[in-house]
Amino acid sequence: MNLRSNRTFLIAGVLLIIVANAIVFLGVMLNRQPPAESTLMLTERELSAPSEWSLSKENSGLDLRIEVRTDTTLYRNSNESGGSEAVPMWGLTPWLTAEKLRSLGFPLAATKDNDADRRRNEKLLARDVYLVLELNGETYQRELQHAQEYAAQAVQSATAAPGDKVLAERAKMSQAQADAALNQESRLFCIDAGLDPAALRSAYPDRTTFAIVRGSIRPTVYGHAGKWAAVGQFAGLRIPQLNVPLTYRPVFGARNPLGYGDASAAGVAGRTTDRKEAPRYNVAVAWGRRLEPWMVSAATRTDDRGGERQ
Amino acid sequence: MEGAEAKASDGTRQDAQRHVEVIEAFRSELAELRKAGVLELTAVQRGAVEAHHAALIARLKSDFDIDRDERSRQLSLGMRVASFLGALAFAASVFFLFYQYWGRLGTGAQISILASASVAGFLLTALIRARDGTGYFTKLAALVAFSCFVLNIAMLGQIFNITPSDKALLVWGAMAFLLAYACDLRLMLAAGLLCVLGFASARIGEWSGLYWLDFGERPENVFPAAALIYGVPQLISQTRFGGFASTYRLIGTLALLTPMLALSFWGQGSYLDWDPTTVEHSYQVIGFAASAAAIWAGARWRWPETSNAGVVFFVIFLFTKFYDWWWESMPKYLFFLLLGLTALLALFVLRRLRSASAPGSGASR
Repeated sequence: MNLRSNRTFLIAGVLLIIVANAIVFLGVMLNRQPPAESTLMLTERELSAPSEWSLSKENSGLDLRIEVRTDTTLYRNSNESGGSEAVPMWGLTPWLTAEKLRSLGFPLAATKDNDADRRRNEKLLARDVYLVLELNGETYQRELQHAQEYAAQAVQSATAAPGDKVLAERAKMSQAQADAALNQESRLFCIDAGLDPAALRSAYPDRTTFAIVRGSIRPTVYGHAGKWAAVGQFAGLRIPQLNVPLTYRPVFGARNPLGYGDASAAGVAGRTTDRKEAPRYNVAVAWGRRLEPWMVSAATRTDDRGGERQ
Repeated sequence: MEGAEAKASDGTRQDAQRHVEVIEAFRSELAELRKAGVLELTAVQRGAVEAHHAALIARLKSDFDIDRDERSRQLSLGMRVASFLGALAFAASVFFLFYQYWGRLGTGAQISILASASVAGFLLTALIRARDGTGYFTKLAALVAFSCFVLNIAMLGQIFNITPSDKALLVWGAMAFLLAYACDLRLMLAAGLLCVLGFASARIGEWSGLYWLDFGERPENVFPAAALIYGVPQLISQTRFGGFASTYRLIGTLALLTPMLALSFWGQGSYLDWDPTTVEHSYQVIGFAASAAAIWAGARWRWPETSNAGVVFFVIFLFTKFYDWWWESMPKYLFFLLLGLTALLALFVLRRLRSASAPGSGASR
């Protein structure tokens, strides 16, 4: 092929552009072929808009961040009961045990007191797996119940010792956390992982509550009293943000983003948008055959409760 | 003579420029020989030689737009710099222009603009290429066309929330190679090689269980592709394209030595299941050896890009070790004195090597 010839050069280049775009569109069409793999009705709690001050005025696009949480009840329970068992640090995912990690293909060494094994495990990097996201399910209810019980206990303790400022402060904070768990924090939890999406779907058949998505799991080694153990950590979704088409921009506040200088002048720089003042919305998000999400519908919501299940 | 002139249009712009410089050198030396009374051409001979050279230079200038003299060469250097900076600025402008307004457009409009910009950039490059004898404007247009294509695929991924894939690097690399070989652009060749490096490293990372975007967490992923890129000029002749062979070797050398440098102080990032300190020491030794090998190979086969890269990395490795050994324990004036003395030693060694290498002791490949 003589690339020096203008005709050949033109044909090759235009063909490459057409083929590349065609492959992309075919993938999109394949992904969005009905029926959707799952469709979840998310709210502003699970799909957060960026803080006003962090938006760049050079970028007029809007992406919503998918807020996924992991179960921390096991950590809290172990800490609060004063148990002697070694517990993972905050931020790790207790259900991602060593056995689970091995089932996901992580070649964990048998970690006991062996430095070489510990080092080998510490070097393991995140792997691409399939994750199960649960919306407003048992895990959320458990987290909510725990937060409310803890707040009630803290209030009881503070009431019993009215002069104790530490207890009073703890009661205040735990009530705020319980309120946040009820009205503000995401109800979307990562509850399982696997290598076979079909097997996961069989285990979690409800397509309006459970979404199978792609993401990463990372193993971490933690130590307690001279012993080492490996546990996993949810390391993020493969597609953590959702692009907002122009049609739905008014739902999220179709304002021009402020640069940091303008945000400073307006007095909003450095301030995270108060969740209570943020727009409220319901967004139907579908995941397709290639487990890529898209926005099916979006509407403003005016009720006071943050999309809590009745 | 006619045969030599007929061949003026063969070869590359660099060959033509080199030929003109040889002619100038010949003229200067002839004048010196005449002054020294060593050689005096007859009027007929002088006229024939000058006529031949004038015709040859005119033909080369017409075919390749080369620089006739030192002033032209300096202006050409300025044009190359301006072309490169202008190309970068235009590419950045395209990116920011789209980002500024894309949120205010519907999906259909976004797709249309992205695809049209890609095609228009490419058509413009083809148009300019057909008319631009210098190559500077073609380089500018090619970089803009490449940027539009990268933006095209990247933004479609963002608009439709597509899973990031390393295959995009293949497609971008294909466009870069097309622009490079069609327009004789080393900058595009370098861009294509970087895309190939990225894709190959990502694939190797995936085969060992990594997510492809994490391939940078294991710098050794780069080695196989880097070695392959370095060897391409030996396997596929690049003589028709000025400077392409040296670009392959330069990218290959940098891609081999940079991960070694990184691993020489980041042992945790290696696939090797050894103590990180052992890994770091090993890569320091390997890095020194590889840099020295690059210097030797560059001197042996007259590959200046290889030897220069080897020298730079050798110095970096050396100074990094000096820092590790002496920065804390030695007064700073003594530390820098030592660096200076080391540089002096290097000068003596290189001068010795230069004197030792006889003229024509290695064929340039």
